[in-house]
Amino acid sequence: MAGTTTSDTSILFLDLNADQQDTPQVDRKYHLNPIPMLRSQPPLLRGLFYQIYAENNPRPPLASHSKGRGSIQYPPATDGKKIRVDSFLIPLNELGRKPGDKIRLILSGESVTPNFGFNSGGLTTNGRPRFYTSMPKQSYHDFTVGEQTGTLDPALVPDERSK
Amino acid sequence: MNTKAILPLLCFTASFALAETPTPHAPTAFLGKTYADCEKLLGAPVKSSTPTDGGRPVFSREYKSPVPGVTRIELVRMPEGGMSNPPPQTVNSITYFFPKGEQKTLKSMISLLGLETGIGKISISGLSREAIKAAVESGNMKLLQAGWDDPLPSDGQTSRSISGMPGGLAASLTLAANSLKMSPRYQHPDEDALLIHRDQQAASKPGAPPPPLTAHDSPEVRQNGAFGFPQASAKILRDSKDVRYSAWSNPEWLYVQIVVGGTMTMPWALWQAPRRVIPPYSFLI
Repeated sequence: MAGTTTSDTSILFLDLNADQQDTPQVDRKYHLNPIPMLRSQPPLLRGLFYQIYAENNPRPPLASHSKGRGSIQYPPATDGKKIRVDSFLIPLNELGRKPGDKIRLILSGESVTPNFGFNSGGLTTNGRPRFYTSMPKQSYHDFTVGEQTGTLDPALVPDERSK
Repeated sequence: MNTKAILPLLCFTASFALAETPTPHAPTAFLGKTYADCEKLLGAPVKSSTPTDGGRPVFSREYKSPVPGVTRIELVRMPEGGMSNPPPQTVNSITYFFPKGEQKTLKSMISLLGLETGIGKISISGLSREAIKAAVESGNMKLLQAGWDDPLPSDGQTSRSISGMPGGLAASLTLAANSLKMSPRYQHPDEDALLIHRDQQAASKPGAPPPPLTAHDSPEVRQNGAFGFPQASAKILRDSKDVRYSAWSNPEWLYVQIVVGGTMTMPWALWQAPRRVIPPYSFLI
């Protein structure tokens, strides 16, 4: 069958100035295994990509040169239950944010087989959670960057960027 | 003989000799080694702990210190990539304990261990929200960093993280007073503690191969996160029966993680190769 191959995917929506508006050249979406939007792009994208909101362009290009890391993984479970782990690791300086800045964010994702969607805003269509590629700003979560304790080893975060 | 008088001289000499000849009890003598190998240098442990059912899967052994000015040394085999992973077979972190308040600067502390001083970036953690805000508003982010010769805080309200040390090492300092914020098992009210481990920053470039997957117990992944996610200090954005969404950030990174599954309420039995084909010109975005 002709067409475009895709896979499980998820999106991290970032309202980086927390103004509950789409701010061109500021707000971003980070994608894991994004669904290709242009026929010129490879048929199956893997890993972390991002888009920057642009005025008068509902489909800004996907950028692949993030300095972050990310992937969707399916760690084997010792108890036989299925797990999927989506990880987005992004440098604050790539976002233009500093410790103490308030941002707003939300997540949405999709599984292909079995087919279901999910989102962190609790949004549903016909009573079921769905994968949305656009989310109402009021459903975003407040978050302040740079304030948590604990240690992080970035090398532990899998990165499977398409070349 | 006045040992305090000659100690700085010995340390000075050691720091210059380090690059070619590590001191016998420097961290590099233990990291990546088995306990048996380490004990050829340190002798038998004075205390050891092993995991128990339901306990943290961390192996720890403590030794009397052969290093002057260091009270004891703890060698740990700690799971990497989340506490649900099995611990490695070799030591991956070392903690040197010093008498409380005796070392006045990081430089003097590092020198005692035979490591080069003055190299690496020192970040201050545990700062108040007001202090972070002041640094951001003034645009002087150096307020979030410390120098090797800066006096260590006596109140123990902040701690220090060092990255980029020679030999691919990183460290974190917890002062005696600061340790009282931790659970009783990890408190050291009479000692300052410097934990040293391998600095993995160099391996974090995009495109680097992912670490191997290890078997997890699915409820533990939901509880603890995976792939190094600091779940214990993360903000949970939403936690439903089937999906947990969490976010964490330090002054360098934003880390967001979704854990799907770990329950039997989803139709996972059908989960197969996660891909499909979209007909031409049919866009979901």
